[in-house]
Amino acid sequence: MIPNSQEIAADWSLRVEAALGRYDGELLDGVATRLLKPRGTLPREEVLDRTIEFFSNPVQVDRRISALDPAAQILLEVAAKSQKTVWFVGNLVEIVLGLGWKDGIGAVVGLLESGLAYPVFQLPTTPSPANEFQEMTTAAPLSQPVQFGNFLHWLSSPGPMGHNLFFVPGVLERMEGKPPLLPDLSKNPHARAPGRDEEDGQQADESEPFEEVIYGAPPFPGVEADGCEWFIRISLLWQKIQKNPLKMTQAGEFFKKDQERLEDSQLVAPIPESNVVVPDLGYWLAESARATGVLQAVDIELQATDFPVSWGKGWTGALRELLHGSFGASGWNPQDGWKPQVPGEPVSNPFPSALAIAFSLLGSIESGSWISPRVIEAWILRNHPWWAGQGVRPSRRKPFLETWLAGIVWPMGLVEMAKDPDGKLLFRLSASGKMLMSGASLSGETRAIPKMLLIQPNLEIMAFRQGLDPARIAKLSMFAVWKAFGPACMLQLTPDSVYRALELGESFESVRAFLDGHSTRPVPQAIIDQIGSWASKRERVVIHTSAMVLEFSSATDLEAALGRGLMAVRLGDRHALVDNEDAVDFRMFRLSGSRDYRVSPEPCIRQGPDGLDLTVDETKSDLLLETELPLLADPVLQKIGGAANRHRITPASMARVRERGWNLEMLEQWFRTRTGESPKSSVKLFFLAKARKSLVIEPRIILQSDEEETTEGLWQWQEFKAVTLERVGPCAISIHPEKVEQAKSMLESVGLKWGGMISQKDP
Amino acid sequence: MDPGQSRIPVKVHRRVCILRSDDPIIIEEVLSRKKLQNDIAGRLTPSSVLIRPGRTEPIIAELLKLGHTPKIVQRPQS
Repeated sequence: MIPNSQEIAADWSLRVEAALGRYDGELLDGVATRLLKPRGTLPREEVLDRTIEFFSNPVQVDRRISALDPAAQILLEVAAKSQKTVWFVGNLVEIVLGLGWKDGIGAVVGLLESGLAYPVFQLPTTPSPANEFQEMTTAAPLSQPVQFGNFLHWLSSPGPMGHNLFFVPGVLERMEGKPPLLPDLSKNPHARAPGRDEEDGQQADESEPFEEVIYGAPPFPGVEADGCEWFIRISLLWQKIQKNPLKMTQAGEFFKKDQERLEDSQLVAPIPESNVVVPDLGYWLAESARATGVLQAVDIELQATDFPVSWGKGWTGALRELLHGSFGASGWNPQDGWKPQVPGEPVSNPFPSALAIAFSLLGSIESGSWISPRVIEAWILRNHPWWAGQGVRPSRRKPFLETWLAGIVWPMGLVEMAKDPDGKLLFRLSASGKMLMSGASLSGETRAIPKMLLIQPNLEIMAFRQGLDPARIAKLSMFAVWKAFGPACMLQLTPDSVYRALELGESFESVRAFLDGHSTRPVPQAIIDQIGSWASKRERVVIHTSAMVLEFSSATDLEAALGRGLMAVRLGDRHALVDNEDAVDFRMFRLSGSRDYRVSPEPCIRQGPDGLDLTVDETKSDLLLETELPLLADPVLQKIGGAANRHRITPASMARVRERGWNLEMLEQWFRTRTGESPKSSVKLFFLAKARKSLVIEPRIILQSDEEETTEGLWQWQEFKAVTLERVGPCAISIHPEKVEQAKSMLESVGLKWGGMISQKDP
Repeated sequence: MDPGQSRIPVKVHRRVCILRSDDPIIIEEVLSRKKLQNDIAGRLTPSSVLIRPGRTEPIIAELLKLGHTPKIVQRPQS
């Protein structure tokens, strides 16, 4: 998974090491020479250490930045102004081209070669006792990462993490305060793109009306949003799909019923005061929730996951992730709304680069000025390669920036919005937007008003928005259901919502502490009792979805392991359960067998000659067998001194199986899985006996001949057949008891001698 | 580990789904649900029931229907 800016901020040094580990010797030397300027060739380990150390020296970082080409410098400026550290290379190339330079790839490669940006690679996994144990049991070979010798090689085969690179956060911090390369469109709406020569043409049509640039305060006061809107709506979406994830078709489209859920009236209700209608708002919320990590794509599903860590830390990180998500929502754009990318077709989405440029240009206007989105949009349409030129369809030229700024960014509280005398919208960065752009933390990461809840005896919670922030919204969303959101939001406590909070790691005490700490009045005792009652029921049943069970030969061995410090839950005399394999010291054990329950079982039972005796191979058997076998067969011999574990199928055991609801197909499947072959006839006989017609034992009079031909002749003789009942064998025919005399005379009539009748009492 | 101590023989069962309760009535209740018979392999010990691989969801749903609120313990990320 591609890391976000928060993750890069936390582990950039590991990621730099991971990237440098992929550079071959020559490339590493080249990057080290440009970045570190060593006197000689450095060993690889020293390059790694000195590179990490380099970024803590702001003077040296400034020197390297100033040595970059202007095209590479402006990429750093856009990245710094949008506070985005991880980029898709294609978007960076578009930004360079959109700002007037002709060699987009060259600027990106220049940044990589300078050592100020690095390709994103998977971090190596940390060795753990469980991993070592698994490697020991599976003998899986460890593969070495493939190294590459130049960045064009990486661009041609980027690996599973794709064409994504990241800037070291310390580099972007140094861009703050540097003279901007981006033009100030509030001073000159027709400004030339910084990379474009005068001879290039592409000048704005001077007749275009750009009177919307207004200096100073507009006639109508600007309005600023509280920033809560998207956090509440994303939380609402998170709640709606908790139990029933969104599903996508292979074409990248949501299933019909999920489309209806994303068009839910509560979710897509108009945003108060935003003045625009955001197309397919529910889809943007879903994409944004995915981009910020609130939802997680698993196969064809979008599943609710834990709220991101950034929400818990306050406004800065959470808003930054939300803003970045709004640049690059993969299936949504402000011009067309929801337009999923068709798998297999070339990626063609200019909006991440266009919106990043737009936000950076907004941040480049003179402090105090307001600007119309039309000015910025016209500048982008003139310069961005997607729109520049004559052959662009009119549908592609539909306005999009006003929708994005007023409908998406304004509710985040990052821009202020006002109207000019004609009622057209104007924008400028808000104080929060300026602080975010400068890389500083927003003043007041949490709201200063701690008491913002009113808890009513009917289990309803009223939450006042002035006191809400991402952390509090996330917490409330875990244990209460959003019912309405306006100036005061309404939530409902339910058994399911409290249970959900407990499942997500909350406890009765933490929920109670939150309510006590934020309620304007004492929480009613009945509410506390009700939550306590719901919480206590949960501890009675525990389901371990993927535990490790250790099976010991005897209770003594289990005691010995617990005595040596094994952290496990005792399940019975010989079994212990462990949830965290990493916490187990496997050196105390000698492995007598290993079974992974996600893998199909292998045959572990041998059928005896009559099919009724079953012998278990204990090195291959599993716990499922231990629970199945007592149903199918009765133990013959208890395991003593390593003797084989034998069971025997009996009519009674097969009766148990039938009563349990098994059919013949299930029985055959079990035998094929466990023995590798079908059940023998004797087993089927026991299983099906009750279902078959009842058998009859009765005396018969049999005519027995020495020769099959004689019997065949008699059987074909129609007159003789009339005195018989049936042919019971090749040389035997059953005679009707009342027609014996008639049969005798017919035999005599053809000259056959018969040896007389044997009495039933004779032996 | 103390080098003097012998290694304990053990059979390891990985990624097992187990339902555990100290209340035998709950165990009996789960085992007797006809709806869950294809999801539950059987009783492992008096206080635990073995769930067939990948069949925890229907069991959780049924327990919720019965008014229980099972605690779900996931495998921690390494």
